Amino acid sequence: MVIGTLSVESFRNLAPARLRFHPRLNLLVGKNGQGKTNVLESLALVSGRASFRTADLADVVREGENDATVTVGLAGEPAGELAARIGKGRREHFWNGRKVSRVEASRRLPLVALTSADLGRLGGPPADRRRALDRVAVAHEPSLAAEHRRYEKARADRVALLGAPGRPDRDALAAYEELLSSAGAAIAASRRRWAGPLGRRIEENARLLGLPYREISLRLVSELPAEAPLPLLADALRAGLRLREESERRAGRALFGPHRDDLLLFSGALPLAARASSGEARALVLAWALAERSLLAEACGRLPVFAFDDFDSEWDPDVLARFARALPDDGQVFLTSARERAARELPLPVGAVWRVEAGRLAATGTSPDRAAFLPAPARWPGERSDDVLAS
Amino acid sequence: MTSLPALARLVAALERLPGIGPKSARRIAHFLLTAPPDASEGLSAAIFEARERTRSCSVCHALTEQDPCAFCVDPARDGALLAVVEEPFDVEVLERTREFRGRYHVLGGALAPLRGIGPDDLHVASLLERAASGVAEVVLATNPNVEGEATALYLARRLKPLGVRVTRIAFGLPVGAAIEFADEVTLGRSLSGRREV
Ligand SMILES: [Zn+2]
Repeated sequence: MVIGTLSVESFRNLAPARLRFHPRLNLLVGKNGQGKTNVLESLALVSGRASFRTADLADVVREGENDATVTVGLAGEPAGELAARIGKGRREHFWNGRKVSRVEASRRLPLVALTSADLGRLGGPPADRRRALDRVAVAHEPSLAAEHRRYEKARADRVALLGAPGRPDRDALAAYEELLSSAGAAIAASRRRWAGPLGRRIEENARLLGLPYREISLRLVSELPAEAPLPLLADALRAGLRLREESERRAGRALFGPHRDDLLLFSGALPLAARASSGEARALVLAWALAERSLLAEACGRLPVFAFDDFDSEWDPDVLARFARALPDDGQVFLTSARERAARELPLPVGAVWRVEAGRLAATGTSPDRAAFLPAPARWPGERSDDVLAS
Repeated sequence: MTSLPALARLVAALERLPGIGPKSARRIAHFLLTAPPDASEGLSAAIFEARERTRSCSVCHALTEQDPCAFCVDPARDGALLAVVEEPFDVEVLERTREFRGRYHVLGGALAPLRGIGPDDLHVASLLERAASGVAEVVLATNPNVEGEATALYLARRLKPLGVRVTRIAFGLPVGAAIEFADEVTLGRSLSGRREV
């Protein structure tokens, strides 16, 4: 599966047009602010992922428009058209014109993105590390997506119930405890299942990138038991919630549960967030992204698209060279760079080079010193996307 | 549009209707103003008449023209079996399955602490009263989203001490969906496959 074509409408500064991408490598070159990252963001959104630039999806919609749409034509097995319509506070996904869930979109088009928002992952807020683990778990167990939604909604409801004037209704509180403990236990159990495999993949990829650390593991830091079957996790969660009712009422937020889990990357007994140099920490995040890629590939039965933003800025050239060599023989890669020369300096696979200027992409040729490849004609601008969203 | 304030008000009123976006609201408004007058007069008369004649059943809170409603007085219906739904519209949906032969109880919503809706804002007290007098089984048919699930769990806790059997309809529906979007076959299966809470 590869992204054959991309059409966007009303999406940030991108001109409405239909692009034909190279099945292997697409290098997007342009100065800052021209729209390189917007292209990667549009791919992330149509693949069901969160935006790596904004928490408010309305930001991607061009001023004066109601919705932005992103449509990709997927080539390979199975071929079809995946689309996303994004507006204020909502997003809808379509597969060949039929409405599908966000999880289904993410399985149709698995995608791993690595952008500046990820570079601080090792020592940044725990939420970023939790999300990176949860993406792997949800790809393998799609029903978890609903548990996450249930958990977040029930958590907000319970806090509101505790904060309402007067003594909260005991039976209503118990109902939310029940919902939270069943959804929370499912989430907690999934993290206990996937932290180990993800850590081992990070270790494999760290070695591939030439990092000096061994025995890398991803450790879950949780207030719930480290190893327990689902019913025991649910019991522990229920008991913990009950214990903290009063303090949560005063605090006005939930103080206990898997939304407070953390994940730490260790090498042996060394916490890597504190030990690794900033260059190494970046390389570890790259190893993490490659680990996510291989685990998503197993979950979805197809190699995810790998989108790497600003891939050559402030990265160790040796790590990048190893990254380029480590790219498997198949699988589609999107790289962005501010430097025209970026591709020449690395042993990258054959691909297309695009110049990005003021929201327009122009194919400028192929990556040099490789077998000739002519990108299919990209028609900018003017060609309208097929209206698969009409209903 | 500013030179046509009455039309603007009509569009604004239509936009508040469920399932009607700004574009459809404008289209309907223009249709009503350009179609022969009996189209708009018929519509406004129908709305007015329906509002005048339809009320909430004093027993089950379903919509009805006579009080109590046809479901509540029909002797062919099993008075010992009660289905609890969120909205009057859900009664219609369950009826379409032709699977359910008991009576109904409409809550008038679901628990929603974020919007300040608690048990006292729903028809819970009247449900408990009904359940305590001659009801053998209560089927909780609230929506399979967090608000509906929480409401079902809450009601189960209140109903069980009364000695009634409490069941939940077994949704083959996607989580987060609403009953009103279920097809008859799925919902019929959900009803016959209900399980003890
Ligand atoms: Zn009635």
